[in-house]
Amino acid sequence: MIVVVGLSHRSAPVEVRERLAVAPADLGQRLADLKQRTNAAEMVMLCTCNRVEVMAAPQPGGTQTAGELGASIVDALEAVAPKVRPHLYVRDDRAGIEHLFRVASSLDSLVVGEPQILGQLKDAFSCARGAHAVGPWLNRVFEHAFRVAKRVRSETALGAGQVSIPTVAVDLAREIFSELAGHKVVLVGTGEMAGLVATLLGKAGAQVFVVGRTLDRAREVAQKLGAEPRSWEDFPSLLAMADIVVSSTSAPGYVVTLEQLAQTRRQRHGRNLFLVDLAVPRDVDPRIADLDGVFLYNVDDLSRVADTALSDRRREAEKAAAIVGEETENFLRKTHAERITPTLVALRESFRTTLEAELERSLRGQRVTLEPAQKESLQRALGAAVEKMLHTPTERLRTWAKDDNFGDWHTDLLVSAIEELFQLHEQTAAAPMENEQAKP
Amino acid sequence: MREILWASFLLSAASYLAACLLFLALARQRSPVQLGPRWAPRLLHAGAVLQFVYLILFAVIDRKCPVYSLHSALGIVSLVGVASYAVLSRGRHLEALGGFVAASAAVFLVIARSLAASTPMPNQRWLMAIHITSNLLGGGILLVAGCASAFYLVNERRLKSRRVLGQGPKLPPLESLDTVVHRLLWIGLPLLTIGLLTGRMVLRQTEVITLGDAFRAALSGASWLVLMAVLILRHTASWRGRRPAYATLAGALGILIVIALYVVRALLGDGL
Repeated sequence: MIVVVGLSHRSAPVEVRERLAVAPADLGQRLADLKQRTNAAEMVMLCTCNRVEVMAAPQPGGTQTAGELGASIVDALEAVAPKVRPHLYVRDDRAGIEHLFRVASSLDSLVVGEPQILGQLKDAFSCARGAHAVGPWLNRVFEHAFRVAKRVRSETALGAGQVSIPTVAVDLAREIFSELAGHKVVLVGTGEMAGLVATLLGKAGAQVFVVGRTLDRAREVAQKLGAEPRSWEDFPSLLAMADIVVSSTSAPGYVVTLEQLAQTRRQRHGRNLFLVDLAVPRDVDPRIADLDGVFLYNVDDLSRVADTALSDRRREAEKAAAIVGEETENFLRKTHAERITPTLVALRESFRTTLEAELERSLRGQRVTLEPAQKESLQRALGAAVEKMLHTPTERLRTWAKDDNFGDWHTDLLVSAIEELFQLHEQTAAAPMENEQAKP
Repeated sequence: MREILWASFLLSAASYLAACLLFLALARQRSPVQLGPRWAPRLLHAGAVLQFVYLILFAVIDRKCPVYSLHSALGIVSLVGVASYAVLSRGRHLEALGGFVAASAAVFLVIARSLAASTPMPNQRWLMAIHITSNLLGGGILLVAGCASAFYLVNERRLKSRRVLGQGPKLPPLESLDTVVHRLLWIGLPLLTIGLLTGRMVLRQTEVITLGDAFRAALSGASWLVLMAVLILRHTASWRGRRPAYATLAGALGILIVIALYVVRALLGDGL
C-alpha cells in the first residue's frame, strides 16, 4: 500500500516548511537518502512552496507494514529538520491514496484549482523515476492520480476564472484587447502589485513603460521588469498613446484626472483605454469611468471579480471532491480484485502440479500399458475435472474481492486462509503482481 | 436526386446546430464533449458546404436560376454570413459570435425551405440579377456586422458595469469585434451600394410602384446612409466604440427588416 508523510500550508507555517524544503537539484539525492534510511520499496518526494511530502510503498511480502514505514519516514524527516515532527501528518492506505488524488487535483492547494501542482507532482514523479525509486505500486497510484486530475479538470470548472488581482487585471485586458502583443502599457508608481500586473502584461507581449516620481526610481523598476523608464514629464504623451495604464502611487490626490484624459482624446483616435487603479487612496479620477471607450477598475472591482471566481471554485470543489472519492473507491476496488490474483494463480498451479505428479506416478505404475492416445485422454479428463472444481471458488473469490461490502479485512482473511490451507505462501511471495512493471 | 437534396438539407441544418452548440460550449469554456476547439468551425464549414450542395441541387431539380428564387437567395445570405465569419474570425476569439452565425444560418436555411414553393419573379433581366446578387452578398455581410456590433454592445456594457464579470459565457474581445465590424462594413457597403443603385434603376423601369416597394427602397436607403455615416465618421472623426456599434446595429436591423418584408411578400404569394 501507500504511505504519505509530510507537511503543508495547512499543518505548518512557512518557517517550518522551509526547513524541510529541498532545492530541485538536490531532490534526487535527498530521495535516495530517505529511501535507504527507511528501507522503503518505493518512494517519491514532492517539494513545493506550500508542501513537502514523501509518498512511499513498504517492502512486499509483509516484511514491513505501512505503519512501520510511516514511522521511519517521520524519524528520518525529524533527523533532517529537528522539531518538525508535530507538524507532520501520516496517511496510509485509503487515506494516503485519497490524499494523493486530492493533491493532484489541486483540492489541497492554497489556491484551490491552481494548475501548477499537477506539473510539480509530475516533475517529482519523474525525478523519482530517474532515481530508480519508483516500482509497480507507486507507478500505478501516480498514473491513476494524473488521470483523476485530468478528469477533475474536464468535468468541473475548478480551474476556471482568475482568483488573484494581477491575473484578473490581465484577463480583463484580454477581454478588451484580445491579443496583448504590441499594446502599450504605462506603469505609474512602483507598487508591488502594479509591478506584478505589468510583469504579466509584459510576458503577454505588451510594451511596458515605467513612470516614476524620479527617472532614477523609474529606471530601477524598469530594469527589474524589462521595461522602458520614462520621467514624469513624459506622462501626458504616454497617456495619449497608452492602451493600458496601471497606477499604484502613494500620491494623496488623483494622478490621472478627467481633464488630463480629455486633452488626449483627439490624439487617442477613439482607441479603448483600460485603467487599473491599485492605489489607496485612488490615483484615477472615478469620473473617467463614464467616458466612452474607457474601462476603469480599482482594487475593489478587481477583488470582487476574484471573489466571484473563488466562490465559483468552492462550489466546483465539492464536485471535484466527489470525483476524487469515487476514483479512490475505483482504484481500491481494482487493487483488491488484483490482490487476489497471485493467490488464485498459485492455487491453480498447486492443483496442476499435484495432478501432473500423481498422473505421472500412475502412468509409470498400474497404467503403464495404456496407449498414448488413452494416456492423453486421461490427462485431459483429469485436467478438465480440476478446472471445473476450481471454477466456482475462483469466480466467488473474484466477486467478493470486487464487492465493496465485503471489505479489505475479509479479503485479506480469505487470502490468508487459502494460502494457509493449501500451503501457497512460497508461490505467492515469489511473484507479487509480477505483471506490474514500472514504466520506463 | 431528391433524396440527396433532402439529405444535404438535413445534414446541413444538423451541422449548423452542432456547430452552434459547440461554439457556445467553447464560449462557456467548458466543452460538453471531448472535442477540440477546431471542431466547431469545422462543423460550420461542413454545414456551409452541404448547404451549397443543397442549393445547387435545388436549382438543378427545379430548373430555376438561384438568383431569382427567394429560397436560394436566403440560402446565399446565410452562406455569405458563414464565409465572412470564417475569413475574419481567425485568431480573434469570436466563439460566441460563431455560435450566433451558425444559429442564424440554420434559421435562414429552414425559413428558406419553407419558401421553396414560392413563385419566382418573371422579370429576369441582367439588371435585376446584379441587383439581387449584390444585395444578397452585401446583406449577408452586413447582417454579420450587425450581429458583431450587438456583441460589442453587450460586452462593453458588461465590462463597464464591473459587476457581472466572471459569470456567463465568455464574449468576444471588444477590439476584435471592432476590427471585424469595420472590415465587414468595408466589404458589405460597396455591394449594398451597387444593390441600391441597380434597385433604383429597376424601380424606374417599373410601371406600378407599390407602397411596399417604396417602403423597402426607403428603408434600404436609410440603412445605407447610417452605415456609410459610420464608415465616414470613423475615418474623419475617429468614431469608435459604443455609438458606431449602435449605428451599425441599427443599419443591419434595417436590412434585416427589408429581407423579412421580402419573405412576407413571398409567403403571401408575390414571389421575390
